[in-house]
Amino acid sequence: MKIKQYLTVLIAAVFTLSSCSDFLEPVSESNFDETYVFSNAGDAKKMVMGVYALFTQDSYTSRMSNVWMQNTDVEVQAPSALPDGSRRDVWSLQGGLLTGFGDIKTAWDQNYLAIDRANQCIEGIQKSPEAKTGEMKMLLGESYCLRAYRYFLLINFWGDVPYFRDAANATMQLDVPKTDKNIIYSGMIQDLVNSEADMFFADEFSDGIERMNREFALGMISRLALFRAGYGMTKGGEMKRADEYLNIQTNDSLAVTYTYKGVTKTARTSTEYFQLAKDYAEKLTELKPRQLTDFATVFMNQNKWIKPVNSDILYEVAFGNTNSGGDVGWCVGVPVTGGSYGKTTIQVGFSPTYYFMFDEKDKRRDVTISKVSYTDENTQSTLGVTSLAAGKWNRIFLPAAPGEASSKGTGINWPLMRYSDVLLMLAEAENELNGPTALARNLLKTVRARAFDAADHALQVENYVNSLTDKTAFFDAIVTERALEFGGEGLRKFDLVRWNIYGKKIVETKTALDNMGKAGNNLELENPEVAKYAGYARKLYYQKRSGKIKWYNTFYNPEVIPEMIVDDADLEKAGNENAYATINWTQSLYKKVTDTEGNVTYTTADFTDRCWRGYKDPSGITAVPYLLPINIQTVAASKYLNNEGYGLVLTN
Amino acid sequence: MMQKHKSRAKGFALFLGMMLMASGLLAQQRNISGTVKDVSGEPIIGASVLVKGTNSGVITNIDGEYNLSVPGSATTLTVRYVGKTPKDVAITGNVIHVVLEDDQKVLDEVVVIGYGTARRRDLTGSVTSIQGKTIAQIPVTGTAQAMAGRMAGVQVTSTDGSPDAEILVRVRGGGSITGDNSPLYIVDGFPASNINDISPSDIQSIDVLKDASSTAIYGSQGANGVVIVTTKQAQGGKTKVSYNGFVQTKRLSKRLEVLDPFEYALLNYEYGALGGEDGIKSYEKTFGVFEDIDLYKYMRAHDWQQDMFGSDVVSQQQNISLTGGTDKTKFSLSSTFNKDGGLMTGNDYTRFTTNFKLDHELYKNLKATFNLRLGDTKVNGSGSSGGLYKIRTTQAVTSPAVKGLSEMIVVDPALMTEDEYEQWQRSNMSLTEQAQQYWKRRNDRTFNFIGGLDWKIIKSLVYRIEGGYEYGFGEVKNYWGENTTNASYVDGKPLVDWTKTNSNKLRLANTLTYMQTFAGDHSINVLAGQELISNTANNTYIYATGYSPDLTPEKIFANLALGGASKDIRSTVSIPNNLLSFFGRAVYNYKERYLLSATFRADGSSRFAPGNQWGYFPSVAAAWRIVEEPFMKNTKDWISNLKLRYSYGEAGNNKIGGGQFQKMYSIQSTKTYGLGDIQNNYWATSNTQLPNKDLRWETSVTQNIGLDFGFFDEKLSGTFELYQNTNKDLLLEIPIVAPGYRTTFRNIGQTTNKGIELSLNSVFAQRKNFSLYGNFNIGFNKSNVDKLADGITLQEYASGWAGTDLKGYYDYQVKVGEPVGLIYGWVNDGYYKTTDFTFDPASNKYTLIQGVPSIGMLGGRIGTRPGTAKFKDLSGPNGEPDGVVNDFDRTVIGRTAPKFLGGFGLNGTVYDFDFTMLFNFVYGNQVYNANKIASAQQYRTSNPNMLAFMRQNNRYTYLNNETGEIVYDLETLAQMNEGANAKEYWSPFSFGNAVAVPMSWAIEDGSFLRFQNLTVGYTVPKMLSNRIGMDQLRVYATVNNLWILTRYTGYDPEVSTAVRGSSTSGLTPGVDYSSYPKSLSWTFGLNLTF
Repeated sequence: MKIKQYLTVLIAAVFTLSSCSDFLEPVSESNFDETYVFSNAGDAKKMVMGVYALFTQDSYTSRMSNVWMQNTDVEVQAPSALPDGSRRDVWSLQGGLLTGFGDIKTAWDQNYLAIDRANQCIEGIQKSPEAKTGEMKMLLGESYCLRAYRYFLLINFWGDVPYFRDAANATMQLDVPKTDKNIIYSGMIQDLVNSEADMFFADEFSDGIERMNREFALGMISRLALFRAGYGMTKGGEMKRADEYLNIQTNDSLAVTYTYKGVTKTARTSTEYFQLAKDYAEKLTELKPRQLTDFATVFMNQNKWIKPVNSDILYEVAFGNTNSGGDVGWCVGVPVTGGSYGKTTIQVGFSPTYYFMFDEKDKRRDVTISKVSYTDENTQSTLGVTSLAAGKWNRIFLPAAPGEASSKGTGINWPLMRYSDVLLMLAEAENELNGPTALARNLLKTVRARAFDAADHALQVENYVNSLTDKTAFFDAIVTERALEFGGEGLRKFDLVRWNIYGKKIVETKTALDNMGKAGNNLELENPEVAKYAGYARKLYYQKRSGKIKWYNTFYNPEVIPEMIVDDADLEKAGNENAYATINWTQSLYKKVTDTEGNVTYTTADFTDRCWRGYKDPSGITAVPYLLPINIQTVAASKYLNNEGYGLVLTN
Repeated sequence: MMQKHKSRAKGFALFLGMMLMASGLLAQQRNISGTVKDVSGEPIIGASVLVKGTNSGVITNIDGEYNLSVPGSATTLTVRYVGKTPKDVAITGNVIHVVLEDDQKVLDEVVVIGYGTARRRDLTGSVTSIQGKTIAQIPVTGTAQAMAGRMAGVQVTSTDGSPDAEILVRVRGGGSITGDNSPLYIVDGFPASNINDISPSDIQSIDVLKDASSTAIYGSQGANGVVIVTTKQAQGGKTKVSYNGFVQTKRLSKRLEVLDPFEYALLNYEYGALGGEDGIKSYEKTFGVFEDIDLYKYMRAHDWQQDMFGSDVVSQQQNISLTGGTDKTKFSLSSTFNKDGGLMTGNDYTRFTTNFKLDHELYKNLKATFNLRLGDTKVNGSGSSGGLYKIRTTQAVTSPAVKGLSEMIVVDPALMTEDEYEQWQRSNMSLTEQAQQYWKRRNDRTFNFIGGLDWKIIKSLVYRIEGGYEYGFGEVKNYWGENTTNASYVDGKPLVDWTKTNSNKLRLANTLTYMQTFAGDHSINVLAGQELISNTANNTYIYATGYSPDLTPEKIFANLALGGASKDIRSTVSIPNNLLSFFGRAVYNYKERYLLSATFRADGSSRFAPGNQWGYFPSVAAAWRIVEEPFMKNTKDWISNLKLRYSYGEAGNNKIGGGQFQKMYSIQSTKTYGLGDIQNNYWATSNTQLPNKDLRWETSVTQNIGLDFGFFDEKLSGTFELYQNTNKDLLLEIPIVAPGYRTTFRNIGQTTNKGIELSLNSVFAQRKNFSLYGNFNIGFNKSNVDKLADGITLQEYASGWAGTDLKGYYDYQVKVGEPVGLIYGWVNDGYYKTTDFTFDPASNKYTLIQGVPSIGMLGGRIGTRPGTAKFKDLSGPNGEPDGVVNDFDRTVIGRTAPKFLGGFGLNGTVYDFDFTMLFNFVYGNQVYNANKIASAQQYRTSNPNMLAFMRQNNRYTYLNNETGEIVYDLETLAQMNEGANAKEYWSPFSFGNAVAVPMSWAIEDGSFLRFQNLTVGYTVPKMLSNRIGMDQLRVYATVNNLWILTRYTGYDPEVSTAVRGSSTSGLTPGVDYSSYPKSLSWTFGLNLTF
């Protein structure tokens, strides 16, 4: 029967098809294997872009880059009245309470995801047949930089952490104990020392300062070396340098070997790491020297998406305005509450004491600190003394208005390393090694010179620096100068940590706030510590012209008090051309309490009480509980990880 | 069982009759004619009339008439019809009328057992079934709902009340811990991911295979039970058209009582006053001054529950089917249109299905079957749960009872946090308007083609080849309006995304069946087969922003080029999921008394790495039909059936995603690096879990003992079963610390399910004008986690309902020695009393007396003072109470596994009326009422309203209503709130705005008894309906969810919210958060047959 023959053929065909072995090992056209993605520089770059891409996640765009970099003596943001289980507890140094806070877990996870992607790049590029090409070597160097930067973040926020140098695979030990931060620092420095020479300078390729280039690598070596030489929180809850508790002489994983100017050196001690920091900062200043350009322009360029090479910024994180993150000008920057440039939700502020830290002539102050917000692109409004905002970034200068309802995704880049940072690191390292030598002084002068008009140079640059005659005074000046130079850039917190002066600076700031507040309310003026602030502006007076605020005084009380004072809302009304409005300044820094009987008493302002709530030592000596806890989910998954020690305060 | 609907049975008889005619011998000696009727006098169409002991016979026609030639030697006729007791009648003349009685016996019911069928009497395994005619009795829109409460050991739960709610089906509790516990669905032989696109009116039968001896034939996929859905077969004979339709309307079945405007204002004033001057100012901005608060007594509250769930809902279902054909070619065609409205405006579900079946006999021994099924489902609206920024049902409680002055104020967003600003924006829209900012359309179309050939090679050997292809076209369109957070992150304008998914499923199966009887007493049935299944899918994703708010979402999707400030296009092809299998089954039957069966299946799956691809699944079973034993002869008058069964078998579970064992890279375009101010797409691993090449199946080993019984001629019949089900090598997604991955899959862990099931059917009365039948089923299941990963006896999981606001984060545990579904949290201990404190009037500070446990995690405005919610200090870092309530004091506060569940029903007829009542029940489970937590405190809201029990005379209050001042001194507080005036509840201000505490107070008894359904129908007497050209005309009315007996205080205890972003929601069952409430519905319908 014919039909039976057909059937036989059909059955045979079916069995042939089913026995095909590929059937159980199918592949998808959307998936590529490791060999392919590292087979050429174009695809390998796409792999490295995957590491960079994690910079555009919330965990970095706002959290780790700026929102969590508070509260110090510079960047300060007021928390709620009580711990509330959110980022505000990071500000108030009560991060220990946040064991269940998802943002912290996300940040931890994404640091490790970035590290794993970097590890994949390192392994893949090394195995690639194209590994020897210049482009591939650049990518390898970048991968090391990215990995180093992510470990830097992990250590800053969590202290000692698990250390993975290999890309994850199911056969390796997946759960490992914490590794001492100094071992990780040394490892990261060694990687960069080995690979920096293979990288491109910003002017050697088209991607300029938006990829981690050779000048960034050199600067990062110095930065890591200063952290390796400095202090960090130990498990015992104390601030210690590696020299004080580790076997630096015998443990080779704490050593870095490098060759500078033909001499091979090994760094093990703090001093040797200062030398390393100096050598690499110097290397950059010699290989790629440059003039410091106008301070305000540095950041205006960022607002306008201009990225000059061989200028101040060595590397900045590139945020697109497409689907990438980019919270600069949204959570950090000048507040904008309406108009066609969209709206901000500012989460980074400054201590009023920081405002007064600047000399009145220092041009950096009004670039760094904004006393105004914008209700639309043409109209300014004043900010309170405890609501000062970062002035370096302002969305109303964006190349095109992003629209009224826009919020995040401004496309403004975030600076990670500037040339002035390298200069100050070099000065600092030189001072640590040899005291305030001419080299150190000249570097500090270079940085200060651009902060003042030429007319002020004699006093503010020459005299000021020349008066720093001993190592301590010069160190203190470096501490101050870094505050003035980098305000809002989120470097302060961990600088204070590595110098081990975080507690001291908190106490100084709180004391100064109280004393300014007392002075502002004419209290205890007999106390010299209060009296020195007596001239500081109790109120600021201002006028408004076409929506723009014109300040009458900014630092001291005016010699002549304006006669005609009106409400802010009436400033631009006819007849009020000579009128001023006022805003309380130091007067707001102390709290007036009126009880039911009408008796008036004064006490510390809520701002002062709350901001550093987690640090209670009035002497400023004990360690500040600056570390964040490891999320309970991660702890639960691990045999080794827990939140014991490290100064963490787990209950309030 | 009801028998008003006979179509299935008729079809079967017709089919049988034709087969008989085709192969029968014809000898012409004398003619006998007559009619076959049922007890009510209705003619039976398609009954077979045979000469006893031969295959010679005919079937009755449309009027129940037959005409048969019989040999002269014939003395007896046998008349058979499915659902009726067969009858032998002596040939006493040329005209013989026969009346067949209803057969309540289910013993001869045909059960689908996978690659074949069996008579129920021959089963050795555990199979529970429901027939299409039973389903047809009650109007339901979903096939899974039709199963609820009707099958012992099968739990059917809808996750909530939304029209497209996911229906969870669990057979005997499900064994996997993190794997998917849903059973394998087989629709007409074809594996399906769900049965949502099957219209209940197309169903012939649903058979659920429960023990491994039954499921082992499905090997690697059978461990969680197998639900086999068979759609209505093609029928020959006279062309018959039937129409079934209903319309339905519904309303919210329960409302939660909230504070009235005055209480609401008072609550918010108290909250403000507790915050001091600033707090009062902020109250005044919204509500005016305290002196005027009495005005709120005269205001009418805005009913947000009405706004949110008060949509006018009309649902409908229309089904039309057509059957007919000739001896050799039979067909059936059925189309169903169904629109199910939701309680929320703009939220509905529309489905259109068509099922076409064709049987054709090519040659005497070669038969072809063809089946085409089309499904088209549309879902409008994004419901109540889901995304982070979407609307939540708790808002219907917590939204302001009255708006006060807030409508008139202008705010400065810069002075608000992100949450506050969003809250403010929302406060100016109704909940319905807000919901519409999240516009969503889902459309799924499936086209399923199945063809089969049966070739009877010799009489006892049948070869069947069956092939099928299914295309799936799915698309999801999302639109976010300008007032959504999503829009503010781009340019503040509406944005859209559009995902299109194409999937293909190919199946090819060959089976060879050999049936033979030897020496009269020994019969065997052997099946050998091979099967190949391949699933592939690909999808395209489009994302674009910057559309004008004036455009409707429909317009935008039709003209994507209108906007597109930023665009993103992606495509992916998934890794095919392939399965290659060989299987066999042998059944031996001796004297209809002793039954033995053995099954074996080998599966190769592409989900596992080479070396681990093949799994082998054996099973054996035996049954003893005691009733057939000679020694049972004397009990025949009261024991009509007695059968003992035992089975042992293994089945598997491979429900993990593809590509879990190898590292793969794919191109990514979300959140790219902004180098050069452009989007830089990048390579990254497509794995979210660390690949593990050692993965293999989960295996479940089941032992089952069953007893089938029947008494008094099956007037009472039932089944009793005992089982133990051990699931080994469970695929656990375990958290790991390795960089870059949060989890990996490993084969670790073991669980056991033990249980008892009982189902009973009884015939109370069966007369011409009155019949009454009852059914009852109950299942007890106890699950136990035997083993977790090495060295781990406990794992914690988060339901995630409050995200990271939830204190402790983890609110569920999986513990060795306990069932899954332990809720973990703090134990309420009322509130702090004045006697717990000393008070310093100078500073208004309270100090806890030594020995009273303190608490620091609540973050409320009142801090710790009299009236603050108090929790038990159970433990501490050293395992002892330490005077501080913190993470150490959590314990198991609830268990979500029910002790037993089941259903019962009554149905019957009175003259031309029929009725059905269906109840279902669940007992002994607890529900985690997270809604209650979120609506009895200020949670992520400003100016919140709360549930009515938080009224001032029932909560701890600090407010002096006369002066508007906050009371601090202990004495006055005690007088206001303690002793004789003791309040039931703590102050809601104990908790911060971003603090949610999983606490024992929110754990409620979830037991319920639900009157699920009442249907009353009326069938127009044939005489009348025939006159208007109809065979049958029935009208009916149904009330669904008529009442519920429960102590649960939320909308409905039958709930299990799948929480956003949770891949482990199977481990955190029983959460009630933002579930779409269930409704009470009225249905009016019509069944027509021409």
